[in-house]
Amino acid sequence: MAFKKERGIHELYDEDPEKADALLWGRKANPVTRRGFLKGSGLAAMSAAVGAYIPYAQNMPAGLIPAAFADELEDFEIEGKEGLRVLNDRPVNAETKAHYLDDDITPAKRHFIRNNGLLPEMAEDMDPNGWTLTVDGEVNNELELTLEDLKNNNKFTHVTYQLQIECAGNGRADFSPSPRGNQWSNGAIGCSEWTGVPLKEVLNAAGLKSDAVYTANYGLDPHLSRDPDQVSISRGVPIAKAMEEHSIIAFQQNGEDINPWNGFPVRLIHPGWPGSTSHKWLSRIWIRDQEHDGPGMTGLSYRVPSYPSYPGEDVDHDDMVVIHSMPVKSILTRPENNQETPLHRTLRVRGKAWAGDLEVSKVELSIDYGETWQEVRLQDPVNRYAWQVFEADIRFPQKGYYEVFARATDTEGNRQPLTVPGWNPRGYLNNRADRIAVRVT
Amino acid sequence: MSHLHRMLSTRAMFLGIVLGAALSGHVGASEEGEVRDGLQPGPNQDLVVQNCTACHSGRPIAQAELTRSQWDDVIDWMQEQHGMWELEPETRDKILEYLEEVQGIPDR
Repeated sequence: MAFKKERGIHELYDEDPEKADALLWGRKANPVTRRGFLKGSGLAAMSAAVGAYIPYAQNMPAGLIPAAFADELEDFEIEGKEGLRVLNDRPVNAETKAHYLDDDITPAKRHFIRNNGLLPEMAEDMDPNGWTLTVDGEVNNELELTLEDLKNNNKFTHVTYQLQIECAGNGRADFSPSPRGNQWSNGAIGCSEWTGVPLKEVLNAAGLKSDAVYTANYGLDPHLSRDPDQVSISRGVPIAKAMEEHSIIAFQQNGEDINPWNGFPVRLIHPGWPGSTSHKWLSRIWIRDQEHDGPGMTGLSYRVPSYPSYPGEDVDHDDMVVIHSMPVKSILTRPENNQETPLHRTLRVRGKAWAGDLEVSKVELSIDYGETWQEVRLQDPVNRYAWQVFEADIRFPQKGYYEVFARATDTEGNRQPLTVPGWNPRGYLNNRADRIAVRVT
Repeated sequence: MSHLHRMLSTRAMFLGIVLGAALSGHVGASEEGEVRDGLQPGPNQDLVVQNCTACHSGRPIAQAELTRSQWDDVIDWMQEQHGMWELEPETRDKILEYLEEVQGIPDR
């Protein structure tokens, strides 16, 4: 029953946000500014529901579901993990709750889970015995590497980087109508410290032929049907991305065996691109002379329209282009959503920002629904493709309910929007500014 | 109860009352039927459970809103790429009826 009610408010807003506003709060938007003016009984109703007076109510955009209501599904335990919100149990998909992402380096137990298939036996048993990596296709020498080969630093260089991995569908829950796919809110992102071998070295050991164009990754995770001839997902990247310094074959996460849910014993990482290119439980890289067309590469998968499509549009598959770099994004990790804070003290606000192949140059916060912004302290990434920590101490003008928004700008001047960006058939690339509710008492 | 706890319970109650009034007659709320493996109640729900939750739970279905024709494409995709079995035309129709009514948006 609680499930139905909580779905109810999102359904109402999905279908017609302005009607939902009118229905629930008696709020009508100013037709020019699209800001909702919330007056009289409507203001009283929303204030009662969030439990506080709302300064800046006149700036609140029409159709915005108050952040105070955005949370809560029942808790679910996954072994070896904490702080995750489970979206599905078959296949297992779980995002990290924002306030569990406050560590500079994401602990393995807090890294999000994105499965297309089932957990491989090797990962269930945490026993890598018998694992091999095949490299074949457009190469001069086919390779079959063992874990010992990879871990042998006479054969290969070992590198350790903090690398952000983000699901292409992070933020999908904001799109309306609701596109197919996991309804991530903002927690399909993590930045652990990964140790492994540069993919470039392995590909050079195999020797790429001149017609090598694309990689094609395969892994050990069984298809949901358990049919051994079915592949749960197989994507790849252009050779140039594969040969980047930070594209690595990883065998350790934060100095230990990789968490079974995050790819034990070995995974690929292509940081800054959709997480689906960072193949877990890696077993084979096939080098191809054409763009790969495995499950997850074609049709609408991990593609966006080449033009702005309208919500719900049937976009022709020929008009869909493969996603490469992810866009600039950020998340507020402290305080937790809905925290109380006293008026007479500053509030320490913290978060993380990242920008696909690029870096973040600026992060700003707003406490008045985007009317005014203040730039905050932003750290450099410890290495390319690590996320960047930002923090600020902010003051509030009076008691009441506020929403703190964060927006990042990357080194090419791209800035996160305040509204949900263009709808696309599979709900990718929502990099709208994050926000948390704060009650000043 | 702590102040915050009391505030949140009052809020939950209030929200319940407001939503109850707003939702009745608005969303197609079923009086009968229950959520099964994440699937909302609706006509032919049992056929959907039988044919569509052998591999994945009902949640991927319950979390999407598509036109009938887009749902039809999804079934094709399940059959072409993910090993789903053939459906009798009548069964497929009944499954699409559920999807259209419970997880459907109008064709624009």
